Amino acid sequence: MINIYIILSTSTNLLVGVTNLLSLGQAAFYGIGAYLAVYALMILHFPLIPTLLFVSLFTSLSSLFIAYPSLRLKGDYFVLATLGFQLIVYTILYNWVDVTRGPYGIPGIPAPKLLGLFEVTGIIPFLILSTILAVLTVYLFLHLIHSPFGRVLKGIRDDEVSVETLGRDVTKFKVWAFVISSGFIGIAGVLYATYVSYIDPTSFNLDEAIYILTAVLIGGSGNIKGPVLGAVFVVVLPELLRFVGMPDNVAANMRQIIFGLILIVLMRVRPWGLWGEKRIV
Amino acid sequence: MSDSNKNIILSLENISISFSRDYKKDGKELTESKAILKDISLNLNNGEIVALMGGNGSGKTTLFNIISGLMDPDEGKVIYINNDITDWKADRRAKAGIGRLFQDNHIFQNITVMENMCLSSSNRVGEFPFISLFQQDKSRRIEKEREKKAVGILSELFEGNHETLLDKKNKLAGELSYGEKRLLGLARIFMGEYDLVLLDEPSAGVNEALIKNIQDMVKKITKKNVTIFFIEHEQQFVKDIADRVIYIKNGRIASIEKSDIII
Repeated sequence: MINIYIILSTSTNLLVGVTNLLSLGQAAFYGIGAYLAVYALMILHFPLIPTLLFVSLFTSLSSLFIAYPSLRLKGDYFVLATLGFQLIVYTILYNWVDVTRGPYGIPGIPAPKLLGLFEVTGIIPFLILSTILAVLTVYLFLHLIHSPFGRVLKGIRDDEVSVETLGRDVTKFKVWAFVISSGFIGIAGVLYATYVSYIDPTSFNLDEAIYILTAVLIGGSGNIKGPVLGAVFVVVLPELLRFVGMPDNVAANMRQIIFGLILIVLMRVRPWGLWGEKRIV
Repeated sequence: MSDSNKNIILSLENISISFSRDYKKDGKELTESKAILKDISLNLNNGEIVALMGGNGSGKTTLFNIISGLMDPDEGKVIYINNDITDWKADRRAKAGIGRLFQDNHIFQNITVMENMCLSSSNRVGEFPFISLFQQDKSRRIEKEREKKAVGILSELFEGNHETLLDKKNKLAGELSYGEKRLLGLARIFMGEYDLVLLDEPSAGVNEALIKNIQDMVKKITKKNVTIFFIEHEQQFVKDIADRVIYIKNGRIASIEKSDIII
Protein backbone atom coordinates (compact mmCIF):
# COMPACT_ATOMS: atom_id res chain seq x y z
CA MET A 1 0.00 0.00 0.00
CA ILE A 2 2.92 2.38 0.61
CA ASN A 3 3.88 2.18 -3.05
CA ILE A 4 0.29 2.83 -4.14
CA TYR A 5 0.14 5.88 -1.89
CA ILE A 6 3.50 7.11 -3.15
CA ILE A 7 2.03 7.15 -6.65
CA LEU A 8 -1.15 8.85 -5.41
CA SER A 9 0.63 11.51 -3.38
CA THR A 10 3.37 12.37 -5.90
CA SER A 11 0.71 12.69 -8.64
CA THR A 12 -1.52 14.83 -6.45
CA ASN A 13 1.49 16.97 -5.49
CA LEU A 14 1.83 18.14 -9.11
CA LEU A 15 -1.58 19.79 -8.72
CA VAL A 16 -1.63 20.78 -5.06
CA GLY A 17 2.01 21.53 -4.29
CA VAL A 18 3.46 22.61 -7.61
CA THR A 19 0.53 24.34 -9.31
CA ASN A 20 -1.50 25.35 -6.23
CA LEU A 21 -4.67 23.62 -7.42
CA LEU A 22 -6.35 22.13 -4.38
CA SER A 23 -8.27 19.21 -5.86
CA LEU A 24 -10.77 17.14 -3.90
CA GLY A 25 -11.42 14.91 -6.91
CA GLN A 26 -8.34 12.69 -6.79
CA ALA A 27 -10.18 9.67 -5.35
CA ALA A 28 -12.58 9.87 -8.30
CA PHE A 29 -9.69 9.31 -10.73
CA TYR A 30 -8.35 6.58 -8.45
CA GLY A 31 -11.75 4.87 -8.70
CA ILE A 32 -12.03 5.38 -12.45
CA GLY A 33 -8.57 3.77 -12.77
CA ALA A 34 -9.55 0.81 -10.58
CA TYR A 35 -12.84 0.15 -12.43
CA LEU A 36 -11.14 0.57 -15.82
CA ALA A 37 -8.54 -1.98 -14.66
CA VAL A 38 -11.35 -4.44 -13.97
CA TYR A 39 -12.69 -3.83 -17.48
CA ALA A 40 -9.25 -4.27 -19.05
CA LEU A 41 -8.32 -7.38 -17.06
CA MET A 42 -11.65 -9.24 -16.81
CA ILE A 43 -13.41 -8.32 -20.05
CA LEU A 44 -10.67 -7.34 -22.52
CA HIS A 45 -8.21 -9.83 -20.92
CA PHE A 46 -5.32 -7.42 -21.38
CA PRO A 47 -1.92 -8.34 -19.94
CA LEU A 48 -0.30 -5.97 -17.41
CA ILE A 49 1.45 -3.37 -19.57
CA PRO A 50 -1.46 -2.80 -22.00
CA THR A 51 -3.76 -2.57 -18.95
CA LEU A 52 -1.55 0.13 -17.40
CA LEU A 53 -1.40 2.08 -20.68
CA PHE A 54 -5.14 1.69 -21.33
CA VAL A 55 -6.14 2.78 -17.84
CA SER A 56 -3.65 5.63 -17.72
CA LEU A 57 -4.81 6.95 -21.10
CA PHE A 58 -8.52 6.79 -20.33
CA THR A 59 -8.17 8.21 -16.82
CA SER A 60 -6.25 11.13 -18.33
CA LEU A 61 -8.97 11.61 -20.94
CA SER A 62 -11.69 11.44 -18.29
CA SER A 63 -9.93 14.24 -16.43
CA LEU A 64 -10.56 16.56 -19.39
CA PHE A 65 -14.29 16.54 -18.51
CA ILE A 66 -13.51 18.27 -15.25
CA ALA A 67 -10.27 20.02 -16.23
CA TYR A 68 -11.52 22.39 -18.93
CA PRO A 69 -14.64 23.73 -17.24
CA SER A 70 -13.22 23.89 -13.71
CA LEU A 71 -9.74 25.21 -14.43
CA ARG A 72 -11.18 28.53 -15.53
CA LEU A 73 -12.46 28.83 -11.98
CA LYS A 74 -10.21 30.17 -9.26
CA GLY A 75 -9.58 29.45 -5.60
CA ASP A 76 -12.56 28.17 -3.62
CA TYR A 77 -14.72 27.79 -6.74
CA PHE A 78 -12.20 25.37 -8.23
CA VAL A 79 -12.11 23.32 -5.01
CA LEU A 80 -15.92 23.13 -5.01
CA ALA A 81 -15.96 22.06 -8.67
CA THR A 82 -13.56 19.17 -7.94
CA LEU A 83 -15.67 18.24 -4.92
CA GLY A 84 -18.71 18.14 -7.21
CA PHE A 85 -16.83 15.88 -9.63
CA GLN A 86 -15.82 13.57 -6.79
CA LEU A 87 -19.43 13.27 -5.61
CA ILE A 88 -20.72 12.66 -9.16
CA VAL A 89 -18.21 9.88 -9.86
CA TYR A 90 -18.89 8.24 -6.49
CA THR A 91 -22.66 8.38 -7.09
CA ILE A 92 -22.24 6.81 -10.54
CA LEU A 93 -19.99 4.04 -9.19
CA TYR A 94 -22.48 3.39 -6.39
CA ASN A 95 -25.70 3.46 -8.40
CA TRP A 96 -24.83 2.17 -11.87
CA VAL A 97 -25.26 -1.36 -10.62
CA ASP A 98 -25.44 -3.00 -14.08
CA VAL A 99 -21.88 -1.92 -14.81
CA THR A 100 -20.14 -1.46 -11.45
CA ARG A 101 -22.28 -3.82 -9.30
CA GLY A 102 -22.73 -0.77 -7.06
CA PRO A 103 -22.42 -1.45 -3.33
CA TYR A 104 -21.90 -5.19 -3.91
CA GLY A 105 -18.51 -4.43 -5.41
CA ILE A 106 -16.53 -6.51 -7.86
CA PRO A 107 -14.79 -9.57 -6.40
CA GLY A 108 -12.28 -11.94 -7.97
CA ILE A 109 -10.20 -9.40 -9.86
CA PRO A 110 -7.44 -11.50 -11.43
CA ALA A 111 -3.76 -10.88 -10.95
CA PRO A 112 -2.30 -9.20 -14.03
CA LYS A 113 -0.03 -11.19 -16.34
CA LEU A 114 3.34 -9.78 -17.30
CA LEU A 115 3.81 -10.16 -21.07
CA GLY A 116 0.81 -12.49 -20.96
CA LEU A 117 2.96 -15.20 -19.32
CA PHE A 118 3.91 -14.55 -15.68
CA GLU A 119 1.08 -13.91 -13.27
CA VAL A 120 1.93 -11.21 -10.74
CA THR A 121 0.43 -12.95 -7.76
CA GLY A 122 1.50 -13.12 -4.13
CA ILE A 123 3.08 -10.53 -1.89
CA ILE A 124 6.66 -10.53 -3.21
CA PRO A 125 5.92 -10.29 -6.97
CA PHE A 126 3.35 -7.58 -6.25
CA LEU A 127 5.81 -5.73 -4.03
CA ILE A 128 8.38 -5.81 -6.86
CA LEU A 129 5.84 -4.63 -9.43
CA SER A 130 4.46 -1.82 -7.24
CA THR A 131 7.98 -0.72 -6.27
CA ILE A 132 9.04 -0.53 -9.91
CA LEU A 133 5.97 1.56 -10.76
CA ALA A 134 6.37 3.80 -7.71
CA VAL A 135 10.07 4.40 -8.46
CA LEU A 136 9.24 5.13 -12.11
CA THR A 137 6.52 7.58 -11.04
CA VAL A 138 8.83 9.34 -8.58
CA TYR A 139 11.58 9.54 -11.24
CA LEU A 140 9.24 11.03 -13.87
CA PHE A 141 7.69 13.55 -11.49
CA LEU A 142 11.13 14.54 -10.19
CA HIS A 143 12.16 15.40 -13.74
CA LEU A 144 8.87 17.10 -14.48
CA ILE A 145 9.00 19.35 -11.41
CA HIS A 146 12.57 20.44 -12.19
CA SER A 147 11.93 20.92 -15.90
CA PRO A 148 10.89 24.15 -17.68
CA PHE A 149 7.33 22.77 -17.60
CA GLY A 150 7.50 22.45 -13.82
CA ARG A 151 8.90 25.96 -13.59
CA VAL A 152 5.85 27.35 -15.41
CA LEU A 153 3.59 25.46 -13.00
CA LYS A 154 5.49 26.95 -10.05
CA GLY A 155 5.10 30.36 -11.69
CA ILE A 156 1.34 29.78 -11.85
CA ARG A 157 1.40 28.85 -8.16
CA ASP A 158 3.04 32.17 -7.30
CA ASP A 159 1.40 34.57 -9.73
CA GLU A 160 -0.99 33.56 -12.51
CA VAL A 161 -1.35 37.07 -13.90
CA SER A 162 2.39 37.44 -14.31
CA VAL A 163 2.64 34.10 -16.12
CA GLU A 164 -0.10 35.24 -18.56
CA THR A 165 1.72 38.48 -19.30
CA LEU A 166 4.89 36.49 -20.05
CA GLY A 167 3.07 34.75 -22.90
CA ARG A 168 2.11 31.46 -21.27
CA ASP A 169 -1.44 30.12 -21.57
CA VAL A 170 -2.19 29.40 -17.91
CA THR A 171 -5.28 27.26 -18.60
CA LYS A 172 -3.35 25.03 -21.01
CA PHE A 173 -0.61 24.39 -18.43
CA LYS A 174 -3.15 23.64 -15.72
CA VAL A 175 -4.92 21.17 -18.00
CA TRP A 176 -1.60 19.42 -18.65
CA ALA A 177 -0.93 19.20 -14.92
CA PHE A 178 -4.40 17.76 -14.38
CA VAL A 179 -4.12 15.24 -17.22
CA ILE A 180 -0.66 13.99 -16.18
CA SER A 181 -1.64 13.74 -12.53
CA SER A 182 -4.84 11.82 -13.36
CA GLY A 183 -3.01 9.42 -15.67
CA PHE A 184 -0.67 8.33 -12.88
CA ILE A 185 -3.49 8.14 -10.35
CA GLY A 186 -5.15 5.71 -12.78
CA ILE A 187 -2.03 3.52 -12.48
CA ALA A 188 -2.45 3.53 -8.70
CA GLY A 189 -6.04 2.39 -9.32
CA VAL A 190 -4.80 -0.61 -11.33
CA LEU A 191 -2.39 -1.57 -8.56
CA TYR A 192 -5.07 -1.25 -5.89
CA ALA A 193 -7.67 -3.29 -7.81
CA THR A 194 -5.21 -6.11 -8.49
CA TYR A 195 -3.70 -6.00 -4.97
CA VAL A 196 -6.97 -6.33 -3.03
CA SER A 197 -8.75 -8.28 -5.85
CA TYR A 198 -12.06 -6.72 -4.75
CA ILE A 199 -13.24 -3.17 -5.22
CA ASP A 200 -16.36 -1.27 -4.25
CA PRO A 201 -17.20 2.45 -4.40
CA THR A 202 -16.46 3.12 -0.72
CA SER A 203 -12.73 2.83 -1.44
CA PHE A 204 -13.00 5.91 -3.69
CA ASN A 205 -15.19 8.29 -1.72
CA LEU A 206 -14.56 11.77 -0.37
CA ASP A 207 -12.81 10.37 2.72
CA GLU A 208 -10.25 8.76 0.43
CA ALA A 209 -9.77 12.04 -1.48
CA ILE A 210 -9.06 13.83 1.80
CA TYR A 211 -6.77 11.00 2.87
CA ILE A 212 -4.69 11.42 -0.31
CA LEU A 213 -4.59 15.17 0.22
CA THR A 214 -3.54 14.63 3.84
CA ALA A 215 -0.55 12.56 2.69
CA VAL A 216 0.63 15.46 0.51
CA LEU A 217 -0.02 18.16 3.10
CA ILE A 218 1.58 16.31 6.01
CA GLY A 219 4.61 14.99 4.13
CA GLY A 220 5.07 18.28 2.36
CA SER A 221 4.34 19.67 -1.06
CA GLY A 222 6.19 21.28 -3.94
CA ASN A 223 9.03 18.75 -4.12
CA ILE A 224 9.18 14.94 -4.34
CA LYS A 225 10.51 13.86 -0.96
CA GLY A 226 7.61 15.48 0.92
CA PRO A 227 4.81 13.50 -0.79
CA VAL A 228 6.85 10.29 -0.51
CA LEU A 229 7.29 10.84 3.24
CA GLY A 230 3.58 11.67 3.53
CA ALA A 231 2.60 8.44 1.76
CA VAL A 232 4.77 6.39 4.11
CA PHE A 233 3.38 8.27 7.10
CA VAL A 234 -0.34 7.81 6.32
CA VAL A 235 0.09 4.11 5.61
CA VAL A 236 2.43 3.29 8.49
CA LEU A 237 0.67 5.29 11.23
CA PRO A 238 -2.45 3.05 11.39
CA GLU A 239 -0.20 -0.02 11.53
CA LEU A 240 1.74 1.52 14.41
CA LEU A 241 -1.51 2.20 16.28
CA ARG A 242 -2.46 -1.43 15.81
CA PHE A 243 1.05 -2.43 16.92
CA VAL A 244 0.63 -0.61 20.24
CA GLY A 245 -2.43 -2.74 20.88
CA MET A 246 -5.19 -0.30 20.00
CA PRO A 247 -8.36 -2.05 18.83
CA ASP A 248 -9.19 -1.56 15.13
CA ASN A 249 -12.32 0.56 15.67
CA VAL A 250 -10.50 2.88 18.08
CA ALA A 251 -7.37 3.00 15.89
CA ALA A 252 -9.40 4.19 12.88
CA ASN A 253 -10.85 7.12 14.86
CA MET A 254 -7.52 7.85 16.52
CA ARG A 255 -5.86 7.97 13.10
CA GLN A 256 -8.31 10.66 11.94
CA ILE A 257 -7.76 12.68 15.12
CA ILE A 258 -3.97 12.44 14.83
CA PHE A 259 -4.04 13.47 11.15
CA GLY A 260 -6.37 16.36 11.97
CA LEU A 261 -4.16 17.58 14.80
CA ILE A 262 -1.00 17.32 12.72
CA LEU A 263 -2.64 19.28 9.90
CA ILE A 264 -3.75 22.07 12.27
CA VAL A 265 -0.26 22.36 13.78
CA LEU A 266 1.47 22.20 10.40
CA MET A 267 -0.73 24.83 8.78
CA ARG A 268 0.17 27.10 11.69
CA VAL A 269 3.93 26.55 11.90
CA ARG A 270 5.03 24.88 8.67
CA PRO A 271 2.43 25.23 5.90
CA TRP A 272 4.69 23.50 3.35
CA GLY A 273 4.58 20.25 5.36
CA LEU A 274 7.18 18.17 7.20
CA TRP A 275 9.61 17.78 4.30
CA GLY A 276 8.12 19.94 1.58
CA GLU A 277 9.64 22.79 -0.37
CA LYS A 278 10.02 25.79 1.91
CA ARG A 279 7.81 28.62 0.75
CA ILE A 280 7.45 32.29 1.43
CA VAL A 281 3.82 32.72 2.40
CA MET B 1 -1.68 51.62 -45.77
CA SER B 2 -0.24 55.13 -45.38
CA ASP B 3 3.33 55.75 -44.18
CA SER B 4 2.03 57.29 -40.96
CA ASN B 5 0.01 54.13 -40.22
CA LYS B 6 3.08 51.97 -40.85
CA ASN B 7 4.91 53.83 -38.13
CA ILE B 8 2.17 53.38 -35.54
CA ILE B 9 2.71 50.38 -33.25
CA LEU B 10 -0.23 50.88 -30.90
CA SER B 11 -3.44 52.67 -31.45
CA LEU B 12 -6.19 53.08 -28.86
CA GLU B 13 -9.54 54.05 -30.32
CA ASN B 14 -12.22 55.51 -28.05
CA ILE B 15 -11.42 53.31 -25.05
CA SER B 16 -13.93 53.58 -22.21
CA ILE B 17 -14.34 51.48 -19.09
CA SER B 18 -16.35 51.87 -15.94
CA PHE B 19 -16.57 49.88 -12.73
CA SER B 20 -19.86 49.33 -11.02
CA ARG B 21 -20.82 48.33 -7.51
CA ASP B 22 -24.13 47.23 -6.00
CA TYR B 23 -25.29 48.76 -2.74
CA LYS B 24 -28.41 49.13 -0.65
CA LYS B 25 -29.99 52.43 0.37
CA ASP B 26 -33.28 52.75 2.21
CA GLY B 27 -33.94 49.07 1.50
CA LYS B 28 -33.55 49.55 -2.25
CA GLU B 29 -30.89 47.74 -4.27
CA LEU B 30 -28.98 50.27 -6.33
CA THR B 31 -26.04 50.09 -8.73
CA GLU B 32 -23.44 52.78 -8.89
CA SER B 33 -21.25 53.04 -11.95
CA LYS B 34 -18.02 55.00 -12.02
CA ALA B 35 -16.33 55.79 -15.31
CA ILE B 36 -12.59 55.13 -15.03
CA LEU B 37 -11.57 55.86 -18.62
CA LYS B 38 -13.62 57.94 -21.01
CA ASP B 39 -13.11 57.91 -24.74
CA ILE B 40 -9.33 57.52 -24.73
CA SER B 41 -7.73 57.67 -28.16
CA LEU B 42 -4.01 57.82 -28.76
CA ASN B 43 -1.25 56.49 -31.00
CA LEU B 44 2.24 55.32 -30.13
CA ASN B 45 4.90 55.30 -32.84
CA ASN B 46 7.57 52.69 -33.35
CA GLY B 47 10.58 53.26 -31.12
CA GLU B 48 8.91 56.15 -29.31
CA ILE B 49 9.20 56.69 -25.55
CA VAL B 50 5.98 58.05 -24.11
CA ALA B 51 5.28 58.88 -20.48
CA LEU B 52 1.80 58.64 -19.01
CA MET B 53 1.27 61.01 -16.11
CA GLY B 54 -1.68 61.88 -13.91
CA GLY B 55 -2.88 61.86 -10.34
CA ASN B 56 -3.71 58.81 -8.26
CA GLY B 57 -6.88 57.10 -9.46
CA SER B 58 -6.80 58.83 -12.82
CA GLY B 59 -6.93 55.49 -14.67
CA LYS B 60 -3.30 55.06 -15.75
CA THR B 61 -2.87 51.47 -14.54
CA THR B 62 -6.33 50.56 -15.84
CA LEU B 63 -5.24 51.77 -19.27
CA PHE B 64 -2.14 49.55 -19.05
CA ASN B 65 -4.31 46.60 -17.99
CA ILE B 66 -6.48 47.12 -21.07
CA ILE B 67 -3.45 47.28 -23.38
CA SER B 68 -1.92 44.12 -21.88
CA GLY B 69 -5.22 42.21 -22.02
CA LEU B 70 -5.92 41.92 -18.31
CA MET B 71 -9.12 43.98 -18.59
CA ASP B 72 -11.67 44.31 -21.37
CA PRO B 73 -12.81 47.81 -22.26
CA ASP B 74 -16.55 48.50 -22.30
CA GLU B 75 -16.09 50.30 -25.58
CA GLY B 76 -13.30 50.97 -28.04
CA LYS B 77 -10.54 49.10 -29.80
CA VAL B 78 -6.92 48.25 -29.17
CA ILE B 79 -4.98 48.10 -32.44
CA TYR B 80 -1.43 46.67 -32.28
CA ILE B 81 0.69 46.59 -35.44
CA ASN B 82 -2.49 46.93 -37.53
CA ASN B 83 -4.23 44.00 -35.78
CA ASP B 84 -7.35 44.50 -33.72
CA ILE B 85 -6.24 42.77 -30.49
CA THR B 86 -9.18 43.91 -28.35
CA ASP B 87 -10.37 40.30 -27.91
CA TRP B 88 -6.90 38.76 -27.50
CA LYS B 89 -6.00 37.22 -24.15
CA ALA B 90 -2.97 38.52 -22.21
CA ASP B 91 -0.71 35.60 -23.15
CA ARG B 92 -1.38 36.09 -26.87
CA ARG B 93 -0.58 39.78 -26.60
CA ALA B 94 2.69 38.97 -24.81
CA LYS B 95 3.60 36.48 -27.54
CA ALA B 96 2.87 39.21 -30.08
CA GLY B 97 5.45 41.43 -28.35
CA ILE B 98 3.78 43.43 -25.59
CA GLY B 99 5.81 43.30 -22.35
CA ARG B 100 4.74 44.57 -18.94
CA LEU B 101 6.33 45.68 -15.68
CA PHE B 102 3.75 45.89 -12.90
CA GLN B 103 3.58 48.58 -10.26
CA ASP B 104 3.38 46.01 -7.45
CA ASN B 105 6.12 43.43 -7.86
CA HIS B 106 4.59 40.52 -9.75
CA ILE B 107 7.72 38.41 -9.45
CA PHE B 108 7.64 34.70 -8.66
CA GLN B 109 8.50 34.61 -4.97
CA ASN B 110 9.18 30.91 -4.52
CA ILE B 111 11.53 30.27 -7.37
CA THR B 112 15.08 31.58 -7.69
CA VAL B 113 16.23 34.76 -9.40
CA MET B 114 17.64 32.65 -12.25
CA GLU B 115 14.38 30.73 -12.61
CA ASN B 116 12.49 34.03 -12.72
CA MET B 117 14.72 35.15 -15.56
CA CYS B 118 14.35 31.88 -17.49
CA LEU B 119 10.57 31.84 -17.06
CA SER B 120 10.50 35.31 -18.58
CA SER B 121 12.28 34.20 -21.72
CA SER B 122 10.34 34.44 -24.94
CA ASN B 123 11.94 31.11 -25.91
CA ARG B 124 9.24 28.74 -24.65
CA VAL B 125 10.67 25.57 -26.21
CA GLY B 126 10.98 22.76 -23.65
CA GLU B 127 7.99 23.89 -21.63
CA PHE B 128 5.80 21.28 -23.30
CA PRO B 129 5.70 18.41 -20.77
CA PHE B 130 6.64 15.66 -23.22
CA ILE B 131 9.72 17.55 -24.39
CA SER B 132 10.57 18.11 -20.72
CA LEU B 133 10.27 14.37 -20.06
CA PHE B 134 11.26 12.52 -23.19
CA GLN B 135 13.62 14.90 -24.97
CA GLN B 136 15.74 15.81 -22.02
CA ASP B 137 18.87 16.54 -24.08
CA LYS B 138 16.99 19.11 -26.15
CA SER B 139 15.33 20.52 -23.07
CA ARG B 140 18.68 20.82 -21.25
CA ARG B 141 20.38 22.45 -24.25
CA ILE B 142 17.68 25.11 -24.54
CA GLU B 143 17.73 25.64 -20.81
CA LYS B 144 21.48 26.29 -20.94
CA GLU B 145 20.93 28.86 -23.69
CA ARG B 146 18.30 30.59 -21.56
CA GLU B 147 20.59 30.60 -18.51
CA LYS B 148 23.48 31.94 -20.59
CA LYS B 149 21.29 34.77 -21.85
CA ALA B 150 20.10 35.52 -18.31
CA VAL B 151 23.67 35.63 -16.97
CA GLY B 152 24.67 37.90 -19.84
CA ILE B 153 21.78 40.28 -19.14
CA LEU B 154 22.41 40.37 -15.38
CA SER B 155 26.16 40.95 -15.89
CA GLU B 156 25.56 43.74 -18.38
CA LEU B 157 22.85 45.46 -16.40
CA PHE B 158 24.80 45.58 -13.17
CA GLU B 159 28.27 46.15 -14.56
CA GLY B 160 30.45 47.92 -12.00
CA ASN B 161 28.05 47.42 -9.08
CA HIS B 162 29.38 45.81 -5.90
CA GLU B 163 26.57 43.39 -5.23
CA THR B 164 24.27 42.42 -8.05
CA LEU B 165 21.35 40.13 -8.80
CA LEU B 166 23.86 37.86 -10.52
CA ASP B 167 25.43 37.17 -7.13
CA LYS B 168 21.96 36.26 -5.85
CA LYS B 169 20.88 34.21 -8.83
CA ASN B 170 20.27 31.10 -6.73
CA LYS B 171 18.38 32.93 -4.01
CA LEU B 172 14.58 32.76 -3.83
CA ALA B 173 13.19 35.91 -5.42
CA GLY B 174 10.89 36.39 -2.43
CA GLU B 175 13.95 36.86 -0.21
CA LEU B 176 15.14 39.92 -2.14
CA SER B 177 14.57 43.44 -0.87
CA TYR B 178 11.77 45.52 -2.41
CA GLY B 179 14.23 47.48 -4.56
CA GLU B 180 15.94 44.30 -5.76
CA LYS B 181 12.56 42.89 -6.73
CA ARG B 182 11.97 46.00 -8.86
CA LEU B 183 15.36 45.45 -10.49
CA LEU B 184 14.50 41.81 -11.15
CA GLY B 185 11.17 42.83 -12.65
CA LEU B 186 12.97 45.13 -15.06
CA ALA B 187 15.72 42.59 -15.80
CA ARG B 188 13.02 40.10 -16.79
CA ILE B 189 11.88 42.50 -19.53
CA PHE B 190 15.27 41.98 -21.21
CA MET B 191 14.63 38.22 -21.46
CA GLY B 192 11.66 38.77 -23.76
CA GLU B 193 11.57 39.87 -27.37
CA TYR B 194 9.20 42.79 -27.06
CA ASP B 195 8.27 45.55 -29.47
CA LEU B 196 6.23 47.47 -26.93
CA VAL B 197 7.00 47.60 -23.21
CA LEU B 198 4.61 48.98 -20.59
CA LEU B 199 6.37 50.11 -17.43
CA ASP B 200 4.16 50.96 -14.48
CA GLU B 201 6.10 53.29 -12.19
CA PRO B 202 9.47 51.55 -12.47
CA SER B 203 11.15 53.63 -9.78
CA ALA B 204 8.26 53.88 -7.31
CA GLY B 205 8.96 53.00 -3.68
CA VAL B 206 12.72 52.48 -3.97
CA ASN B 207 15.55 54.39 -2.32
CA GLU B 208 17.67 57.06 -4.01
CA ALA B 209 20.57 54.72 -4.71
CA LEU B 210 18.39 52.24 -6.52
CA ILE B 211 16.41 54.87 -8.45
CA LYS B 212 19.51 55.64 -10.47
CA ASN B 213 20.05 51.94 -11.09
CA ILE B 214 16.48 51.53 -12.28
CA GLN B 215 16.60 54.62 -14.46
CA ASP B 216 19.81 53.34 -16.05
CA MET B 217 18.05 50.05 -16.80
CA VAL B 218 15.09 51.83 -18.41
CA LYS B 219 17.53 53.84 -20.50
CA LYS B 220 19.12 50.57 -21.61
CA ILE B 221 15.71 49.32 -22.77
CA THR B 222 15.33 52.50 -24.82
CA LYS B 223 18.51 51.63 -26.69
CA LYS B 224 16.91 48.40 -27.96
CA ASN B 225 14.63 50.37 -30.30
CA VAL B 226 11.62 49.21 -28.33
CA THR B 227 8.56 51.41 -27.93
CA ILE B 228 8.19 52.31 -24.27
CA PHE B 229 4.99 53.51 -22.66
CA PHE B 230 5.61 54.26 -19.02
CA ILE B 231 3.88 55.65 -15.97
CA GLU B 232 6.17 57.78 -13.84
CA HIS B 233 5.96 60.59 -11.31
CA GLU B 234 9.67 61.47 -11.32
CA GLN B 235 9.56 64.52 -13.61
CA GLN B 236 13.28 64.85 -14.27
CA PHE B 237 13.45 61.22 -15.33
CA VAL B 238 10.48 61.74 -17.69
CA LYS B 239 12.15 64.81 -19.15
CA ASP B 240 15.41 62.86 -19.60
CA ILE B 241 14.02 59.99 -21.61
CA ALA B 242 10.49 60.65 -22.89
CA ASP B 243 9.67 61.95 -26.35
CA ARG B 244 6.11 62.81 -25.40
CA VAL B 245 4.08 63.07 -22.22
CA ILE B 246 0.39 62.21 -22.04
CA TYR B 247 -1.48 63.70 -19.10
CA ILE B 248 -4.59 61.93 -17.96
CA LYS B 249 -7.14 63.51 -15.64
CA ASN B 250 -10.41 62.04 -14.42
CA GLY B 251 -10.19 59.27 -17.02
CA ARG B 252 -9.72 61.60 -19.99
CA ILE B 253 -6.63 62.70 -21.86
CA ALA B 254 -6.00 66.21 -20.63
CA SER B 255 -3.04 66.96 -22.90
CA ILE B 256 -0.31 65.43 -25.01
CA GLU B 257 2.93 67.39 -24.90
CA LYS B 258 6.54 67.16 -25.95
CA SER B 259 8.55 66.18 -22.87
CA ASP B 260 10.83 69.23 -23.03
CA ILE B 261 8.02 71.45 -21.80
CA ILE B 262 8.21 69.83 -18.35
CA ILE B 263 9.63 72.37 -15.93
